[in-house]
Amino acid sequence: MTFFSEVLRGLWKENPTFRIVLGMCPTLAVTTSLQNGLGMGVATLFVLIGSNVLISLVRNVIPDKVRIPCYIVIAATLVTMVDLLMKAYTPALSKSLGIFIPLIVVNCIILGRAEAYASKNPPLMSLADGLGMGLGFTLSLSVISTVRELLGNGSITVWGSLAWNLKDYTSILLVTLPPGGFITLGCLLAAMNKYEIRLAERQGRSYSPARPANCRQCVIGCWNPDGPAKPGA
Amino acid sequence: MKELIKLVFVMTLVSLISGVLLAVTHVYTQEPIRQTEQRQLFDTLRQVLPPGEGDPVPLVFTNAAGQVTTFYVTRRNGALAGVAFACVSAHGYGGPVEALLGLDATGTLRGLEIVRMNETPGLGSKIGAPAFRAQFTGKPLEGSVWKVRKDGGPIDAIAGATISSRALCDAVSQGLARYQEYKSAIAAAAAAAPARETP
Repeated sequence: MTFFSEVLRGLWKENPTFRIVLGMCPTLAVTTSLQNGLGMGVATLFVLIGSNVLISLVRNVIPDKVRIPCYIVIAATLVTMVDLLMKAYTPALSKSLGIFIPLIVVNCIILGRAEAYASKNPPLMSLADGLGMGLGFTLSLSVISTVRELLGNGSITVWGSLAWNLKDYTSILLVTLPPGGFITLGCLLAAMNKYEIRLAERQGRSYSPARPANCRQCVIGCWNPDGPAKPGA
Repeated sequence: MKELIKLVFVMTLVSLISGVLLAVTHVYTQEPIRQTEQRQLFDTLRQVLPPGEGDPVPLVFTNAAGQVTTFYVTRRNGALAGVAFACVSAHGYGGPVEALLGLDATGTLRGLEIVRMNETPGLGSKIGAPAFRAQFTGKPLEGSVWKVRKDGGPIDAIAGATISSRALCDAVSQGLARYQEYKSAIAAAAAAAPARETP
């Protein structure tokens, strides 16, 4: 378990969107354009690093029974401070990321990583986890939003400049509407699973989804065949 | 009991630290945020108003009901060249929709910029797109019908975002009502007051 391997883990093996399937609400809501996807991803990346490090620092001080409210207070305080500082000193950045900042507090990736990782690991490793998960989230949102904007609009525009334009293309509006979010996400999830299964077959091992491995560490207990686990057990 | 006290103590401490941190950040960022907003307002005003001499001058009116309205006027060669003012509709999809309207001397809507909205990104937020706003500009504010096609007007609503499109029409209609209320007062004040420095 090195710093680098922890960063890489969030990108593919435990990708928060496609593997752990966390934070679906912001994922489906903001991926209508690449600019929105990137904005939400980068804003979440910064908050995730900050909250992971902070929570890791206080992990031995906070009693178990009140840890979840404490994590939420820490994440919400951090988000509000970042929001105010950005408004005051980087108005241009705040204008493009501004609407995503308040949404981050309710993103369950923040609480999920605090609970599953930062509360059990030292600050440096938690930073690596936050960085990896944040990058993985940004990457996933970029992929989904590129597909949706391209099919739904026929072009891709990032911060005012046209990046890609499909000529003579009749856009499918459905893809940008909420149902299109579910359809795109479903297709991408299926494609990723298909690829994983093919890869496993080629290497001669049986394919096992990442989900149980992650939920087993979870003490909230939404999916756990052995009952709630003790933290750190 | 001892455990309970510890839990309450930790929660209180965490909330207290958060509260203090937020208060300090708020105090230190209040002034820069206000200045930034002021600068952005004047940048937007310049986009909707015809070119004039100096910065737009605010004129503040209060009606009998106590509603305060601010009009920004710009002058050229001693005459009124343009009026800009904010209009709000409470009927947006995700909250109020506020726009800044700019009129030239003939009362034609010259510019329209959305200054505040919380519409769905990628859907309702498209009311801020130039293509949609172009349906409003170039028409006389008085005498045009500010309604979407579904309501019998000339404006093509954005597909999937009729409520947001309707809200912008509503905001413009509200602006029109407010403008008519003060039209003569603006003309009188602009004719009387010499162009002065903005604060």
